[in-house]
Amino acid sequence: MDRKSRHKQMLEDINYCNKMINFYNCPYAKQYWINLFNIKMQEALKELEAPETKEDTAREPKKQFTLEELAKYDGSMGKAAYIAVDGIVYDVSWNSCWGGGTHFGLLAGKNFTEEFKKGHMNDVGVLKELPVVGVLKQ
Amino acid sequence: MEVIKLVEEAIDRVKEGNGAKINFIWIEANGCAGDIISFLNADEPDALYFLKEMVNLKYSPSLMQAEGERAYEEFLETLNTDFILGVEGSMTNVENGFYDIFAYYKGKTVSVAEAVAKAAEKAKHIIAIGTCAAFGGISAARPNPTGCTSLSVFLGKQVVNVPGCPANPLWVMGTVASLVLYSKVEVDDKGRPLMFFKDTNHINCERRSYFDNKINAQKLGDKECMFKLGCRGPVTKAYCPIGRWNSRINWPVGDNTPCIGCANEYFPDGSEPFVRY
Repeated sequence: MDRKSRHKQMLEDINYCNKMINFYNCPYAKQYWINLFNIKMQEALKELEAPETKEDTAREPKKQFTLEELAKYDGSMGKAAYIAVDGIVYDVSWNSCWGGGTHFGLLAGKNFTEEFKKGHMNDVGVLKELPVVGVLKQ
Repeated sequence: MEVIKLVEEAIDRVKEGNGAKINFIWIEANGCAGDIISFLNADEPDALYFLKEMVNLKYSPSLMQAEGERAYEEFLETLNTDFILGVEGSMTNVENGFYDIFAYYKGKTVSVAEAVAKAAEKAKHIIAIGTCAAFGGISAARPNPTGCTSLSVFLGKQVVNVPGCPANPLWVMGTVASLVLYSKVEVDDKGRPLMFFKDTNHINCERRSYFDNKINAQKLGDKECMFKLGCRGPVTKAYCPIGRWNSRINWPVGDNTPCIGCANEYFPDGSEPFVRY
């Protein structure tokens, strides 16, 4: 099941354990539900720290951009600024380095795979910070 | 206790009197001489205070009285003393430094490259004044026909970089003051004094709440954030929103024009276009 329903189930389990702890008078039953409650809480905390798994994001439909559609998002006249690198389309509208939708003389709304490789040879990690809005239609 | 020590130190230095002032050589390399002109606009302390109280300005092509060969001789004499070297404009060594001549002396041509190399060997401290000297700047912009490089690259060692196009007189004055008083200045990994180049212009911009709420100016002259018009404030480390320009009166954003990132390492190629509609 996906992330949201997984989290919902976890929350329901924890609340149920809580109810059972209060319901039983028998100390052994109480202890059983307390232990179960602790286990469920540990799992929930681990889940909070875990990053989104690939399967979750892979399920969401990715918007496809042709080069003409991408060209509309060039950052001019207050429009959003999108760029494509290696087939993935990123939103650079509010990235510090892309003021006015421009970067080192390049205008947004294009495929910059080659320019990126040349300009960021040693620093491919910058792409991880950018929000993804879709993929480039091949 | 620190403050009392500093005050006592300051009083001692004052008592020592003018005899202990260090010399200063200001060389104008391949640039527009904008930094020395900007420096004359210094205010509290002003250029007169600099000349009278802070250093002995022994060589400056724009300000010194001597001319021609006599000026070059004054330069040579100062090399044998304690001095701080300040260079504005970028360095070119192409074709034996033909594109930037320092002096004609006794029938020989002395290039700026030669003179700076000589001075840099003997200088107590070296400051690269302005973006051209610090990082190459406009002189080294594409296609760079004169093969200009920054002072650090030319000398092969890190110097104190005070970028800006031109360098704000406050930044130059503060850096020299730190060197005169403490013989050092705290710098970042690119050699820029931390007291002026720690934060970006974006951090203290008066239009920051417009940016944070994504309210954009539609055209130059609007009062909202100009990021979408091409403002380079977020990527430019400098002191402009705080120390400002022209006796602390204003700075570009305060005057309704976006920051062009003139103190950036990649100015101007990395800052273009300055305005985007």
